[in-house]
Amino acid sequence: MGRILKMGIKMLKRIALLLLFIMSTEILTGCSNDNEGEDASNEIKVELFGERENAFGNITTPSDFDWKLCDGVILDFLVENNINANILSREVDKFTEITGIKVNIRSMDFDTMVDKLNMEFISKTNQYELIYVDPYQTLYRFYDQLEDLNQYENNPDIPHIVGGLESFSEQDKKVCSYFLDEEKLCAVPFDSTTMILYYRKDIFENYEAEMHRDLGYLPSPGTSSFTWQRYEEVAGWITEHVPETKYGSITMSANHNSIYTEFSNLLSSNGGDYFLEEEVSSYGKIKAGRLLADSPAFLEALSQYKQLVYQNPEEVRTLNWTDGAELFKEGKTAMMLSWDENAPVVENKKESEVAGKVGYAVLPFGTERSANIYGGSGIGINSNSSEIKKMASWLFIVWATSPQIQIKTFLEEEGGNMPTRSDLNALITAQYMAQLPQASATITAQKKSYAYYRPKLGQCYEFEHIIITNLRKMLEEDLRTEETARQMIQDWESCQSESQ
Amino acid sequence: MRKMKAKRKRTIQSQIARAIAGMSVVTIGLFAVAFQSVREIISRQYGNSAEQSVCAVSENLDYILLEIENLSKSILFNHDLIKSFQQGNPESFLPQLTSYYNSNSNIEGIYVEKDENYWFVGSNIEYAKDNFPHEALNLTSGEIVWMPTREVNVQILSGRVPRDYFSMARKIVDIKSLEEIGFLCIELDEQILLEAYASLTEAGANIYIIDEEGNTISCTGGEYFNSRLLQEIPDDVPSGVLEYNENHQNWVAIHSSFNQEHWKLVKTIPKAILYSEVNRLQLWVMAGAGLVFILILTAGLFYSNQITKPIQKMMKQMKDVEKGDFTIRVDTDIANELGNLGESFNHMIGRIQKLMDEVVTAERNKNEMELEILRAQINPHFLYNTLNTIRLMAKIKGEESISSALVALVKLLRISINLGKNLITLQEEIEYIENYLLIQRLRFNQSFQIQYEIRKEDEAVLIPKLILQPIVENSLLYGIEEATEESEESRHLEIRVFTICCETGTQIVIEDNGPGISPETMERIFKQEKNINKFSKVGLNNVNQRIKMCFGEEYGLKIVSSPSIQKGAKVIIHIPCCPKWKD
Repeated sequence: MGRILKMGIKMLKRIALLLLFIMSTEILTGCSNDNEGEDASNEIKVELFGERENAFGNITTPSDFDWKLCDGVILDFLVENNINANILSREVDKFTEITGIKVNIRSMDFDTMVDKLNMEFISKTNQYELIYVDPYQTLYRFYDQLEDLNQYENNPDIPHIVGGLESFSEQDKKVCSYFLDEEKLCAVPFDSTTMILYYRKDIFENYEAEMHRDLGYLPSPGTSSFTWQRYEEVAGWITEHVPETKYGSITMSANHNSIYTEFSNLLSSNGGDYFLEEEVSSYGKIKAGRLLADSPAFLEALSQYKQLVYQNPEEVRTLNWTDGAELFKEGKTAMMLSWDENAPVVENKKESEVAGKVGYAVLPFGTERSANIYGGSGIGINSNSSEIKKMASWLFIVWATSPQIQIKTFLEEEGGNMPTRSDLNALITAQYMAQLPQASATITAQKKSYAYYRPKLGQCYEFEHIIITNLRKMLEEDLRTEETARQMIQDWESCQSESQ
Repeated sequence: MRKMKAKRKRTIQSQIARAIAGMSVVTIGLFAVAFQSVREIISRQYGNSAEQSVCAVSENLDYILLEIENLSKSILFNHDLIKSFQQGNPESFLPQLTSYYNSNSNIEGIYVEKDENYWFVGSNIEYAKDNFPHEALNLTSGEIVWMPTREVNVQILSGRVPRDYFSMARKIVDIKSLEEIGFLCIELDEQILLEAYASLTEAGANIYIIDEEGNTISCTGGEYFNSRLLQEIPDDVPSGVLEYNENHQNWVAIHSSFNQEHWKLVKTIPKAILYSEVNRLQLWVMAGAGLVFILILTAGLFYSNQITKPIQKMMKQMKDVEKGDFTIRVDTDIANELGNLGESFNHMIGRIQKLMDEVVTAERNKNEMELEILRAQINPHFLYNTLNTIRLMAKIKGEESISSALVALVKLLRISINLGKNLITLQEEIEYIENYLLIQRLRFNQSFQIQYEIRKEDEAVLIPKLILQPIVENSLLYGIEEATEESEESRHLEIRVFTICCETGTQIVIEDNGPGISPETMERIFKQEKNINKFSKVGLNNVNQRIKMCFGEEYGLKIVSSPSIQKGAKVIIHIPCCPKWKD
């Protein structure tokens, strides 16, 4: 009897333990189910890259996405040494902290970078996963070796470009992101620079009366009255009358493409262009038609450019970008046609003698408009890379092109750069315009009516080479503009026939 | 059938041995399972270690190849060299090529070709121009093309020396304009590959470097790589281990990709060699396990023997006891439960022996009494008839007193000889006493009186026969004798027999007013010393034991006497009301 009683008690204890276990399991699973329910109700989650209060710091992702998906991957980003690359180098640790992806920012001067990129792609190697895609140096040549980013942007399971691709200017995307058509997204706009007019505001103000007296007008850069002709006149007057500076203006007909970009501004402001086809200046074309070098606008531009260069003293006719900026910083020239990205250096009091004295405006007007050549680039992915590195590269692109990085670049203490995101323009105009003196001129210059997009061709290198060689020859040998134009056309036709 | 169902008896020793063997087998079985897991882990570690070695070598090879690739890139990045090459000016570009050749000791020679012309620095390879992979290079835009190892003749002075060279070739491209200018080929001695993977070589193993087309770039032993195996190596896995069978032997292929995944370093080795140390370890462990099993079994048998030996000894001693030898005592100097068991057993044997002694004594007493009665029974009928005849003769002659005495004696004898009955009623016992006293009155001249106060309900009480007569006889014998010796005048002896009821039964009390019983007398009474004056030879001790045998230990006889104050003696017989016989 006692034994039966003991067995009964033992059985009851077991049942109680079992019930306790089931109840505790139910409680735990119930809790976790509740959490799952919460997660399931959130379709997206927000990842903070930096300060919580940063309005631009959030990148939304699918709730089940793991930012550590590519933990341990090491990427190499071949990029031009500019302010954007500097900001990325400084901020990239935050990206690494969240994703576990280490990114080596390999920044270098533009020419070396282009050579390395050319070598990377002709060798079909994968030394660099992230590619700085210059539309006029890399995109047209190696678009077939760049990964189609649409497959990532359209993948619902991974993060996308914040705000979508529509956050970028339509024209910038056509130039930077695509080649030939919109089938393949080769790059996401990363940095943007536009040529604007740098001028010594203090000189213009101090010598306002004298200039008005001698020239018969009040020079006002950025207005339609400030034409290329007046630019030449003012430059000459300053060279002659203003002791604070040595030169009124400088020109950059040196190596590389500075002569080409300067001339292109003049050409477009007078209503001219190189080719008839509109797509040449947007999506680009493998082959363009006839070179319009013998058009009146082209000939007028050649003539004006020749005059513009010749009015400068010989020693400042053949500068390059760096030399020009150095002279301006030293206060040796009152005006300079240069990329807006040089403004931070010019405004840096530690480096520049003219900091705070500079005014910024759109380039002088021609007969038709003020044309300001565009020079942006995108970030793309080397298609020779492994799949995991491609995925890691995409995450980096999402982060590097996000509003918070672009606004950080813009608000950089030592001088920022204009974002490629058009969705930030309103914010900059409303809140931060005063912080960057060049911002107003740059935003204006980037408008469709002011911007100039140079030809993007399958033979871009050869085309630029023809233009540069003949322009330089014209200046060096003082050739007639018609002769130069004819030679350009002949060289271009020869180049096209060779490629066939 | 019942026999078949009966449990087979097993010795404790065999049971312990079986249990130890069973536990050992289970333990060794579990150990075997655990060891198998450990073996798998160790084998995996071996595989991983081998894979890591192969990966390390492939990284080293990658580094060597990368150096050559970078050198070719440097040549292409050298604008002056390219420009002079483009212009067909060997005086300008050959010294620069020589610098590149000298900068890397792994390079045997650098060869360039442009428009059907070729120049070289380093080894003078015979028919070097024909070694350019023009067909493959024309399909490229500038990427590197590797050529497998082949034998070439190197011209040294006037002689030709055969060498095994592999080479890297690429288009010479103007890196700015991307214009294709010519071809570049860098020749390398296979020895640099052999040295790089020398650390992987071991007896029985083969090393291969395979390109993506399956061409053998380099290998040990000079054998071609198994093309079927190449197909089994996945392209999307940077490294791994494969097992396969070849010529009825199990092999392991450890592979690692390098040179931008275009090449594979493969080490093939028989599985038995790769895991030889693991197999040896397994053998040692198995031998150890077997030894441990034997040791456990031996120790088990030894200890089971230690446990069962005293049990077996105890069993033997118990069997002797079973045969009737109650003097045997088992050993109790065992420091465990068996010692306690032995002590209990010895105690039990002692108890049994005591009980048996008691039974024997009781039986002996009974036999003595019966013998006594039998003695008195010698031809009792003849005596009885003779006494009756004498009684009739005395009555005819008018001797009434003689006749009465004879009547009493006859009655006394009748009861005495009635051996068929063990129990008689109290009334019958009283009647027996009456007849006895009638005779004793003739002897002691009626100097005593007896008084009966028997309760009516006690008259039918059954008692062992002849238990009152010896008591009354003692009263009469010692009471009258004492009076005679001490006071020299006849003292009137009064005997009183009465019954009383008590909680546990009935008490029959016989008391007298005699001198009481001295301790010496008491001892004599209970020792049953013979007294020629006594009618019965049965002592009070006998009476007491008979009562106890009949009714149990709680009943019996009790004597109350105090001779010093002359209060007489009192004997109390305690019997149950309704006696139940023990037997």
